[in-house]
Amino acid sequence: MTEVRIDRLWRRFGATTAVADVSFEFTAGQVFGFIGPNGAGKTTTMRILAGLDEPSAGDCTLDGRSTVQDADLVARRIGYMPDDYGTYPHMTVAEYLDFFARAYGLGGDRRDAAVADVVDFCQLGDLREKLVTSLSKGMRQRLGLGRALVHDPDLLILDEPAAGLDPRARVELRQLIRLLARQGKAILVSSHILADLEEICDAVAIIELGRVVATGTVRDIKRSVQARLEDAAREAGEHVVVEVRLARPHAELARVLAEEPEIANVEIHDERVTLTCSADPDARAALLARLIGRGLAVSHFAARDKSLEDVFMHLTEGRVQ
Amino acid sequence: MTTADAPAAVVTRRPGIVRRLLDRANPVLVRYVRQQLRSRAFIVVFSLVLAIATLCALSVAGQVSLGDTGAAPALLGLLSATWTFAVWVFEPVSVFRAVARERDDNTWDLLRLTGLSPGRFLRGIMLASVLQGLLYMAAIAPFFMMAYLLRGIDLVTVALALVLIPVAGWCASAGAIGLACLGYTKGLRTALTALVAVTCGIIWFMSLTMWLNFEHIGFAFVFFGIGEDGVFIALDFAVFWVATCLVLGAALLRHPSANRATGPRVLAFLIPLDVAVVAFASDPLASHELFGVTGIVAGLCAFVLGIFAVAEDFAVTPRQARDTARMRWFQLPVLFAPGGARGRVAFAVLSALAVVFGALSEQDDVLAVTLGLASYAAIVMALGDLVGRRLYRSTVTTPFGRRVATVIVLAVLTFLAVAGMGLGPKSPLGLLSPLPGLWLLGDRGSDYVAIVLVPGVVAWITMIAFGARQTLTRDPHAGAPGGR
Repeated sequence: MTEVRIDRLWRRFGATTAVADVSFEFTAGQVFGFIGPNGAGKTTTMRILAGLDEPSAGDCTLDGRSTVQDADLVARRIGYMPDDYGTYPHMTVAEYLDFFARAYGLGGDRRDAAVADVVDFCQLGDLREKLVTSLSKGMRQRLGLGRALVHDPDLLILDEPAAGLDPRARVELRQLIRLLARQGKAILVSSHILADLEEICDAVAIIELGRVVATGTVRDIKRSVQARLEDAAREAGEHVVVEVRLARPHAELARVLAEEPEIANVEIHDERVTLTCSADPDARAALLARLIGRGLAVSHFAARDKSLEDVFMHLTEGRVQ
Repeated sequence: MTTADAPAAVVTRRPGIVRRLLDRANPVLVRYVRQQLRSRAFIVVFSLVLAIATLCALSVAGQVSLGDTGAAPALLGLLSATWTFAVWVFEPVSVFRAVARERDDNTWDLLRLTGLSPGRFLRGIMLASVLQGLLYMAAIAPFFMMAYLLRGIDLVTVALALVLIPVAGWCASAGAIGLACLGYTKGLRTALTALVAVTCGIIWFMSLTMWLNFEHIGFAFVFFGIGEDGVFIALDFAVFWVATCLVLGAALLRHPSANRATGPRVLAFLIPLDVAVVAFASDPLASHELFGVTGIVAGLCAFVLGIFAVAEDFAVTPRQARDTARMRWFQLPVLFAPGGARGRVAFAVLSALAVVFGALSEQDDVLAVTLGLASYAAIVMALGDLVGRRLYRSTVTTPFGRRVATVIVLAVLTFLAVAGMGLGPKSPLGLLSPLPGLWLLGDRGSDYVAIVLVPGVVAWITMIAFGARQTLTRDPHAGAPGGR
């Protein structure tokens, strides 16, 4: 099974440290998200992993084989889609894919089959004879994905694949990425659109100023950040937002909630209630007991989950180098 | 995503020979030809060449009667002027832009990932240029034959034009490809585009004098002094010029951490070998003496290779460290400094060959010149080491900056040497720089050779000392934060 490991990676450009001691790993079938502000070191890390750049120290391995020292051997197992790349003028979509298939050393019927497969997979069939330069942004991204897949790589590196895409194209791209993961490819993807990553990623690394500030599954990172935020709110005597769901309607719901001194703000949508109350777990437990005691059939009572965007905003400071 | 799902009939079909040949063709060649055949610029230029050639032929045919000996050279001149614009100006600029655009648009990175070597990429562009040159030739050849049939020019002249014009164009294209690899930044590549366009334009414009007076000048200039051998020497030179441009260009495009010196090293040995063969086989050069010519060429190659080795990277990269660790024999060359270790061994062998050939020569000044070349090459390399590893290491951090710094130091030395020679044409100050120095050595070798040899030997010792020190303290990750 394909295993990708980034091990204590450093990359310096003169006095600037673009990547500082970055480590993470993921395996086949996983979509690993790489999140960070502009200039955080995402693209540099991805380029090193793809064998296009050389680290100042550290290593990246694909199944134990270094992509730095054995770049020539590993390159063909990697598909890389950069965030910004040009296309060739006066070439059709089919010719473009055929060219890269040739460059990867695929010959004859194997090449035809590979091109047909990616055209089919990326739904480019109707555009085969269109000039590459006439494609829309979304179609060009699909073509870029097709190019990265034409040699059937084990590891796929996608740098900002959803940048500039409309909502429909983003949804379709997400579906393609999930499908590829199900086919057993290891996928590293970076994006500014955190909602997209949250939906498709099994694990993420958040990077700022070249350093990884958090890594793990999306759920673990969110839990950890949420616990930290709640602790901080409790110590500061602040409130948290709690989501409450009722098993059945209650005629006096608004009055019951208004009479509770612990509750600061309330929003009621039928059986769903969002309220703000003390961050102290004991105070919340007491509130829950009182609400049940006054006849509310509470089926769910929990602090609201943080989104990946909230987590990202909490963990990073927006500093750039 | 695999061929496993492909229909069985497709998999088992035997491809035809044309298909198999096309499969093996250079992918860049296939792509570039496809692109160019659709490119508006190519279609316009090709159509213009064809239209102008037709107009010239029709107007000459309409005005002259058979046996008018002045019309044929005039027609040949006009046709050549038209044709040379396409292959001496348009083609070189096109291939330059093709290579430069690949790097400007970051598509070169995508190609690198496919495992396509820089050499194969450049050969693909070059072959496409050759194919297009042949396309122009096919279009213009019937008009050349018409000029021949008008009488007044011989078949040799027509054949020479049909061979030399495209060959010169391919040389120009190869030079443009080499230059396109030189630009590290987009701005520099833009400036180089202008340089290529202007230079090719000026050469074409100057050639118009010959084409428009073809009746009087013809190809006679080719034969002045060198006879028929000159054509073969010119073709031989063209082959090595194209090879040199492509090999050096590919070395520049190769990843900085990869071994970039193999091609240049092989070429540096092939050039003196070729010169020896040509000198042996060719009457005019044979009269000059085989050993002397070969020795000096070997020395020049060692000199160029030495500069190239200096221009390589100065620190051991992880890939080079791996090579060093895997191959025991590689440890010894590292003594001359790690960056371009094997290139430097080749340089040492070539220097030795130059001196041996110089010693075998019957003329004393040849030995002085070859000794001087070996010394100057060692001095330039040691100077490069000083600049790259010592003086500017902390202030000039990029390889490109170090190369510029080395060239500046050499330029200053050359200026001092030339200024010194202003004091007197044979002033020893001229020895400060290789060019006037070699002239002085050729002129009065016995007086000056010792002056050049001493710093040459010191340079060798310096290089070995640097190399030994770096070898003993070698740590490829030293200096990197968090390095192992």
